[in-house]
Amino acid sequence: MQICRRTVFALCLSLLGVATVWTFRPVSSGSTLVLYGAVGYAPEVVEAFMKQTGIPVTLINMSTGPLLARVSAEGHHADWSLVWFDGDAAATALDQSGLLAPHTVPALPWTKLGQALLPADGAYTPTGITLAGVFSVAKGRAAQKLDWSTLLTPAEEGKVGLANPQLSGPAYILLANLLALHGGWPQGQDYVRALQRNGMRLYPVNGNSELALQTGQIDLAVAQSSAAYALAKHNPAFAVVLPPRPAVLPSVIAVAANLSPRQRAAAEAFVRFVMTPKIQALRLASHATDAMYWPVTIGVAAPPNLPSLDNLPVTILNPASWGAREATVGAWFDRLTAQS
Amino acid sequence: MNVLARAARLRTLSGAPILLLFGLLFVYPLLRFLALPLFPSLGPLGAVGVAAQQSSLSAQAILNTLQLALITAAVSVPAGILFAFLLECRTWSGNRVLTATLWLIFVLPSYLIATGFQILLGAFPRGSLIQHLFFSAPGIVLLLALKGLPFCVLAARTGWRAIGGEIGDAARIHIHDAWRRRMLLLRLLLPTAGAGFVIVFVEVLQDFGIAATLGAQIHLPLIIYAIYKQLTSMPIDFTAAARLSWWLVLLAGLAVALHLMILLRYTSASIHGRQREVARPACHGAEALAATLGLAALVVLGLAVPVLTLLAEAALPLKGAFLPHGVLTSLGNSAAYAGIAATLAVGLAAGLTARAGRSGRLRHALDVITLGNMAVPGLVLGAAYVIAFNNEWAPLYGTPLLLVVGYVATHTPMLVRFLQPALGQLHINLADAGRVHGLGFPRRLRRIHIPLLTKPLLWGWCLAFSQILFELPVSELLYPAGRTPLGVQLLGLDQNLNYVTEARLAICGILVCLAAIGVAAWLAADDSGPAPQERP
Repeated sequence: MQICRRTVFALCLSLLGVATVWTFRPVSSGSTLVLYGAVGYAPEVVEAFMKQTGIPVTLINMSTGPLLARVSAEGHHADWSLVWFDGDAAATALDQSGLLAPHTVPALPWTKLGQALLPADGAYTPTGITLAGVFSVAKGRAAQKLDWSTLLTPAEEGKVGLANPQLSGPAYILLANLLALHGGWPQGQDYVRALQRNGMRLYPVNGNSELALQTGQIDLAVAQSSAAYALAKHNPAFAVVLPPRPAVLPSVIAVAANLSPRQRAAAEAFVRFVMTPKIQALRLASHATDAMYWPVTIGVAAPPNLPSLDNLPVTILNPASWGAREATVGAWFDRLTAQS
Repeated sequence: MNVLARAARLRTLSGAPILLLFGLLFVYPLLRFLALPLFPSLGPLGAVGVAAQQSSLSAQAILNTLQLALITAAVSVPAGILFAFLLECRTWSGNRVLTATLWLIFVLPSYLIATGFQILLGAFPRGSLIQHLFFSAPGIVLLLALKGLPFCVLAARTGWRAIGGEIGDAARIHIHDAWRRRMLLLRLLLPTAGAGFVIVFVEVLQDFGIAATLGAQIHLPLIIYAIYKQLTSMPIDFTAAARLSWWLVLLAGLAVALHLMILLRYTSASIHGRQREVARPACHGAEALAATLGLAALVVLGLAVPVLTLLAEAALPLKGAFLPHGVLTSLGNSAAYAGIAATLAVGLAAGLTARAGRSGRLRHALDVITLGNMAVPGLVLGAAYVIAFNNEWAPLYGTPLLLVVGYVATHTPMLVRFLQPALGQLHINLADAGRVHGLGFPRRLRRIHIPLLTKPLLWGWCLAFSQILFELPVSELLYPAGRTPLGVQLLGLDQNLNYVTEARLAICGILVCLAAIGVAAWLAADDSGPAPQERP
């Protein structure tokens, strides 16, 4: 028994030694790509890419807000090779800070909307479209006429929820659209103030506002379309209502500016791979909520339960101007909501 | 005399490297971070999108935090005193179950308890009363009170033990009125209640798990989550985070000062040399019934609801693998982090405690630092590390090394407190006798110290391992790319409502934790190192 205990103790020490070596192994070799991803289907795409090309990819999955904060904290000492998240405004802000490599957009048969979303310097590639703010409600309200002014009515007091624009990247585009639709910046502040006065409730991410809707804490969630349609698909008790002129929210992928030529070539190969029809089909078939998106290239069909975007009036926000004022708008919104 | 003075000076100097290391881990990062409101230039270099004092201070978050901490402490203390009474003053068959339940609640991370409740209550009819009650401040108070109870019971047990049996006997002889006797007992319990109140108050201030799950879900602004928000949203505002941290540190510092004052004022009043062990009476009928009901409520709310809900959720069918590879890797990552950090922290704590035991000044410094740590939550230390070790001289941010160092720094003070009684009982003559007999330091360590300290060291390791495995705040801020820790993975799954995978991962984490504790307990039971026997 004594020897047995000593053996177990020695085994534990050996295990600790192995754990130490494993923990402090190099994060990536020269050829490894590091992808900071905030899209749910990224693991499946990464797996397919590694299988096809043999290029190793390390994926770090997080939601868009913390992802952008991490990229921002790392600054010019970036540990990432690629970022993939929702929101071209934030991508433009990163581009203006010199963190993104230019001219990485592959030549593809873009749709009209896709073409409109391409940046002039090719610093990021749109990989799909969602809408930044649609209404997620109980099925019984689906036939009601709901628009942005509905959110200010006494009946909705304390019953409207949305993701916090400071923690959820997509929610910033929603906030920007609310401001843009009601006079722009800073005139649109009045509408958001009125929303705040009517008891608007903020949640960390779309998932939390959906849970709040499902548990009766709120009656209407202003959510990203992918989350709202996924909820309606999985739970028939809920439906999606499209408000007037929702904002187009592209998911974008971008390459880091500080890569070696070899890594940059591998990163650009990943971007092209993401946009192939085969991989777009893989993304659309994913169980992730983010799979509910509208493609931006011709020849790829959107999921059957999404309405056509062809005749739908939408807002395309200028990513340069709204990206540049994200810090100002965010700080104003923080002050506004801190008073509640 | 000169020789003795020189020897004392040498001993003090030999402790300097350890204190220097401690200073580097605590004092430098914290001072730099907390000085940001006054000197914003001390902020991180080379970061993008960093805001400069644009965000406001959330008065609501401060008020909510204070209210929650006070209410939770007020709820926990009476329950803690009653459970401690059962453990210290009564012989009752449920005492073992009660002790085990309290330990398990202590080890179970608060965010998993919150998730268990969230899953269960999510299944209730939409808008039902129970949902309204849970998804609001009473729900948070319930969870925080459950997490605070083990600390409160620990403090209260010391109080009941100190009161002893003879005070009750004396009261029965000299005070005829039963109500006055009870009032006397309450007055004697006041310092214990105060200590328990302060401990729970500080724990509530610093609890990040519940603030990040249920608190964020019901949109209840709390200081700890407001700090996190400033550090993880774009633009990052380190200055606002530092300003909020000051509030947290000040509130906790005031509470700790109060705790110290209570200890200094009352401890000597209740412990005396003639104290004797009194046979503990069995619970009578009504007492036994109340105790059983209380224990049942504790087991159901603290363990059965979260654990059984997680088990039931984990058993639900899900397409694909039981756990996706990336998700499972987070468990491996955290097990490795926890193993390494717990070992380093136990080694550092034992070294510090042993060194401090030989010097009055060092011991005093250690007491100040470890008590000071009570006032500094892991989230604040993590934020301080982002700034202190994210520059050209110490480019450690985003590396596994900094995360492990963060874990060691946050757990060493707790381990110092844990090991102090055990190491204090080792008489200095044991080592001196070994030295006189020609034993070198390694042999003294192997033949004298380690055999006598195996149990406390291994239990300390278990404590640190279980806490680090599920650690959340430091992990959220410092985790390296591609090495996601378990806590971060679980919170991410929770926020995306991926409850089945979250439950499976949590159950696997609990199993790994129990396995590690089981092996350590088995090793600790080893009697291979007999204590030195006295010759007849």
